[in-house]
Amino acid sequence: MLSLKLYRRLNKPLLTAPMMARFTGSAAAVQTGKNYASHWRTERIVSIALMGLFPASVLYPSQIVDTLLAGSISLHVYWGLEALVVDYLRVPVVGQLANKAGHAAIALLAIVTLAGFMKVIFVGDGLGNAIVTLWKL
Amino acid sequence: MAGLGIVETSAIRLLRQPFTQQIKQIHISTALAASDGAVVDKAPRIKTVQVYRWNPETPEVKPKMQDYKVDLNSCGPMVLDVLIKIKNSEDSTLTFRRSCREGICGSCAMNIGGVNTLACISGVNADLSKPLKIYPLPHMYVVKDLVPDMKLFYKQYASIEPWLHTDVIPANNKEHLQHTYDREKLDGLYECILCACCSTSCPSYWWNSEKYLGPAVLMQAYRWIIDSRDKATAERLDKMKDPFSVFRCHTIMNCTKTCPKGLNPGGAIARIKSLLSGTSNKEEPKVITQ
Repeated sequence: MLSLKLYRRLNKPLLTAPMMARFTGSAAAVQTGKNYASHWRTERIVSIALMGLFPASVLYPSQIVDTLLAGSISLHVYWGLEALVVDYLRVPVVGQLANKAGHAAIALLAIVTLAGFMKVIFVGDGLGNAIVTLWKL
Repeated sequence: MAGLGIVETSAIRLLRQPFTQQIKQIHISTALAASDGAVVDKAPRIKTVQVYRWNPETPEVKPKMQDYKVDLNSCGPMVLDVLIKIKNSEDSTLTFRRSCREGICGSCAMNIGGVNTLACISGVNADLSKPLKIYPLPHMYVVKDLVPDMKLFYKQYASIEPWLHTDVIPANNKEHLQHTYDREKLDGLYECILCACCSTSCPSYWWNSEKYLGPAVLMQAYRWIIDSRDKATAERLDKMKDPFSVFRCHTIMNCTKTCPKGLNPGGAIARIKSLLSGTSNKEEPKVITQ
């Protein structure tokens, strides 16, 4: 079946057929239509930013740097755990409900984490100072 | 070269060759001389070989490991030699794929001692106290014994349309010329033999093989994406911008570690990601001056 399809496609005149036509109707893996590339780039930028934000929050403690750090950590943790849910709580294995519950749980966790950081920043000593205090322990 | 004896002829032949070739020749002749004497009486070196067995005709019998004893002295040095010896002299029901026996066809890809590799180019560990364990490629449906079902893998390979797409009519009406600079970009990509060792070593491919293309297919996709003669780069990239086709790769790098041909599928995937995200762009083909 597949080989026949492939044979027909291979025998299309490559130089005359319009390019887009050659690309339609192929055995494409999945077509979600969603563009993940920009999401991926944002993930990389946040990861790289984290490397600078950690020392910055300790050296120059301020509410702005702390807020940036808190947001970045929460996002970073959320995306990391989301990858875990996608890989290990797959719908065909654990079912739709468990998959949804996993997604909800990590979202909740990210929000609670962010809220906790915000409390430390705006009610407590600030995130940079908290890191220093933790280090002293 | 009449009038010269065998010794003189071979000496002249040796002197005419470049230095590296001479060294090789000398090494080969010493190795042959050493092995000549060593064949004479040797105690048998019995190696235990454990092979994964499953027969589709008896589906009620669970898959099991079957032990075989092989004398390494009367057997070739590679794992494939061991398997062929078992099949020829002990158990003709043992099923596995093999063809070229020299690492160029990719048929005998299997999991040997916990590593996905080609049976024909991996030597048997001479330590007789340890058994040689052979499983089929991990996380694939098993057809029989060591034969995995490659249907999905080939379907995914077909989905990237691994052939040249161009509307350009070549100047000489025969072939699409390519500058050597552009040709060099294909090195390390075109050598892939599609044995599926890398894809089946990748956890992301284990969990999401229906949606994630896997390292082997992605490296071939990249091979066509960066080909200077291919004009469908944008369409090729557009087809894999979804969250699964490429971006399920978590740079675990098992693919590169296991590749029996020493290629780097992980690197190719990273370059696809960078092209997709716009961090880098495909270079314009270099002009060929003749």
